[in-house]
Amino acid sequence: MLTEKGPLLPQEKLLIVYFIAILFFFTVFSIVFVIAFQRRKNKFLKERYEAEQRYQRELADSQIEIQEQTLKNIAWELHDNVGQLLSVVNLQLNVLMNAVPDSFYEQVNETKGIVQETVQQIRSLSKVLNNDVVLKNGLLASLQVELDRFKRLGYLDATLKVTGDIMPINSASEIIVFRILQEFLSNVLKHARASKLFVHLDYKEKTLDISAIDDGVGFDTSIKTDSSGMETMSSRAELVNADFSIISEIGKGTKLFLSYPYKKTR
Amino acid sequence: MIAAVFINLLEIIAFLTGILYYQKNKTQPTFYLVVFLGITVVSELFSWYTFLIDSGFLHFLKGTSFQENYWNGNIYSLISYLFYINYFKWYLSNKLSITIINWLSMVFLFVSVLEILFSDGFFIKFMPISNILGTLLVFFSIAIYYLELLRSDQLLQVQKSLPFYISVGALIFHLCTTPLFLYSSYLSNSIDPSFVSLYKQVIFGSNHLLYSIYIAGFIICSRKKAPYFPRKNF
Repeated sequence: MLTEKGPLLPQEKLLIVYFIAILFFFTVFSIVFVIAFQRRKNKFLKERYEAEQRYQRELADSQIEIQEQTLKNIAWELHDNVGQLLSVVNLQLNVLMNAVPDSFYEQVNETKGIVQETVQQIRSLSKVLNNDVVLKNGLLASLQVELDRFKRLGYLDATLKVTGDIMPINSASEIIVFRILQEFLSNVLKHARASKLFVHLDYKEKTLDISAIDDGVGFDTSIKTDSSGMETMSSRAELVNADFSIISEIGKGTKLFLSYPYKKTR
Repeated sequence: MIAAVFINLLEIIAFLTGILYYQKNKTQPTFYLVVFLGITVVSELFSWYTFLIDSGFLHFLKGTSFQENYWNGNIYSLISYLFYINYFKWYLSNKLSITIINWLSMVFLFVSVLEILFSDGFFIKFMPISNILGTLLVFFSIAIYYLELLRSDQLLQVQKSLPFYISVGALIFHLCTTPLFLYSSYLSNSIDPSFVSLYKQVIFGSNHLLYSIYIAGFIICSRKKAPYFPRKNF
């Protein structure tokens, strides 16, 4: 029977020490364990988020790659296949020109001219479709080819203005910037019914500012359409960390602004 | 008596399953674990010699310090604590934790030896300070092992890792039995039979649990190739 009169037994003191020590250890361990668990959980969540981001980026990359491959295939087909066929047509027309009576001469000659122009068009189209060629020629030259093509088509008067010191852009970004512009230009051609197009490339110290302005019918930017052109352009701009905007009102033409930073690309 | 024999039986079974497990999974910590279990079996079997003092040919030991087997238990518990403190070290990758554990086991050994030399209880009871310090250090070592487990992906496979079973068994056993070891000197006298009965029940119960967990761990882990190998050799 424990009484409060005598002193505590040494075993009792040790037992008290033991329990205090164990409880103290246990408390500290529990706290550390919970903290470690929290950290682990946060790390896990962060890893999952990063994996998701990486997956999205890879998805976008592979989409672009597939598109580029498709465009390249089309360019090859146009250049090698259709181009060759048209050359054969040209040869045939030459033979024909000597064989037909003079009354048809004028017409055959005109046909020959059209065929030659078609060959020319197809060559320049295949140049801007194939990304290897775009890379080889560079952004400016490719843009010029594209604008010249529009001029030759006779639909609209396109001018290109370049200011500032021309800076080299890394090739992956260059292609993407070019594709954004190409998408915009083809939309101008298809929908804007514009007579004039002005493209301005301004090489600044840290960014390349591109603006493209047409005087076409414009459109209401607040209306969402089914066409994925706008989405494609803005998602591509996101890929190269560029600021991208399109301003348009009905009857007042359309303006595209693209500000591409040289450094921030991944 | 029967319960005590049953403990010996469990120890031998644990030792044998340990050997079988080692055949499948030859790693250094497992080797030491099996050796430790062998030492346990030998020590426990050896401590039966006190029965021969009253009835057998060892009657000349009567009246000497070796009449009780506490000295054997004290030496064994020193080895046991040192083993449990250092066993989980093999499964740690953090250099700092390993160094801390090395130093702490050094301190433990020093304190225990001092206690054996300067206290007069070596032959009549279990050493209290050595027991308390040892239990705390085993707890500490296992806590570090658990934290490391939590940080790594091995947590997902924990039911197949042997050190986890060893840690559970060791933790329960040491935390439960140490308070009773402090009062081990009361076991020899017969003033309080109810304490002796409680003591025996707790000690036997926790021993049964400990070796059952070991045997279960060996069997479960040897069913499949253990995915949890130690990171390096010391």
